[in-house]
Amino acid sequence: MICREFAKKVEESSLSELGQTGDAQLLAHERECAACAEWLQQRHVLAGALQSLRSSVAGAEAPLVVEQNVLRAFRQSVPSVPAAEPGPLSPLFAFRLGRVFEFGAYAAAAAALAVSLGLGVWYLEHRQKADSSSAGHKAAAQSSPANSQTEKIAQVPVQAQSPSASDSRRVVGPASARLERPSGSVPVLVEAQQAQGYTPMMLCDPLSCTGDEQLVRMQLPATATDGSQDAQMADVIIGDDGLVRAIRIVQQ
Amino acid sequence: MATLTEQTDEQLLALAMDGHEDAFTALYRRRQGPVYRFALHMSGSPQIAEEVTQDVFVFLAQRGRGFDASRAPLGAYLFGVARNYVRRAMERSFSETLNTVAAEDHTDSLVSPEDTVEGIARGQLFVAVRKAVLSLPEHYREVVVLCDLQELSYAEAAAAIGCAIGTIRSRLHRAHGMLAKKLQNSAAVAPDISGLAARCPS
Repeated sequence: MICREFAKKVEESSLSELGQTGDAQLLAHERECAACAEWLQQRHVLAGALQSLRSSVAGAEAPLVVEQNVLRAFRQSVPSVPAAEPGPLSPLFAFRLGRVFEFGAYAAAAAALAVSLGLGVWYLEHRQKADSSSAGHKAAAQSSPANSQTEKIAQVPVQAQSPSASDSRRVVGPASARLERPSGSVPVLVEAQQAQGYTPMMLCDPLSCTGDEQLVRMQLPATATDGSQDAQMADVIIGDDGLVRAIRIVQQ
Repeated sequence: MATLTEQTDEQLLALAMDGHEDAFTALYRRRQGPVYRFALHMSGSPQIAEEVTQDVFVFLAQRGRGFDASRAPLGAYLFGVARNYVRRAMERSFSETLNTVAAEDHTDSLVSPEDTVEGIARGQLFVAVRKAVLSLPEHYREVVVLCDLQELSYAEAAAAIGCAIGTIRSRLHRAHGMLAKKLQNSAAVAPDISGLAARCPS
């Protein structure tokens, strides 16, 4: 081993390792080279000095106040976990949880009951309206003396005539007059029209019968009558949609 | 489940980040001593060492989730954080930390009073070594503190400083030479280290 190799080997070892080295080549060169032996001895002395410095503060630690400050900062920066480990529910907590679910079930049942009740009421009301309307329609159809005529008339598109129109369908009285709608629901309207001798021509639904209506006196076409040659006049109530609401045969 | 004392540093940190204060306390008590001594050796000031120790663990509490165990062990990571805080603290009080009188006073308090000739010589050697270490440039001083005084391996020191192992080795070798030279020039050096800086003939 030459001095360069000796120096390199010493550099690769830490100071503490040098004092305990058992490398035969290193020790042999140390015996042969006085300068390297002296240099290695200096490293041993330095290692001893650093060892004494290390041991002088070996037990040194931060004072307790530092730990307190650090833990205070930890509590502020990291959210703490619950002290108790998650395990079986305590009876009190389970009871409270059960109460929550119990209340929820009650609320759901009450809501379902309310909804079903509302739907039932709506269905009954709707069905009652339908029944009353159809019953009124049948009764009117049976009681009207011009039943056969009105049925035929209903199939004919009604054309309102202006007073200036001069044809076979002569308008008697005002060509059209706006009717005062009695307040009330559709069955009430139908009953009011029936009381005035009108025959309802259709079952009004709330949407189509809420508009204005016009009363038109017109001459029925011969094809709509029994075929008699006498002109037959009728008062016709026409809705906004152009459809006949009711008709009354004018007795001449 | 293993007790906290049986957990590794990384496991304790993970528990602490989940909010377990006991784990953080155990980690602090395990690691505060080395961090404190590192800061004390680097600065020569117990006040700075306390301040640095507190800052390091407050940093860990606040940003411990950013620790990557695959890059370095937690111990080396803490030394790296402490290194930065020491540098900041010493920049703030540069004159104070390099005040040799203060350093001498502090080291004197660490030396056991011995009235024998050997004890006095040892005390003088101790003071001389401490002054020599504190007067080293920072990047040499930190490798001496980490490798010679904290007894970290070259790999751990490299992880703490963030450089290659070869850099640690070369810096340490150079630091040893500088220390030997400083001790040789010191008037207080004992005769047994007077020829410390002698060079190998080759």
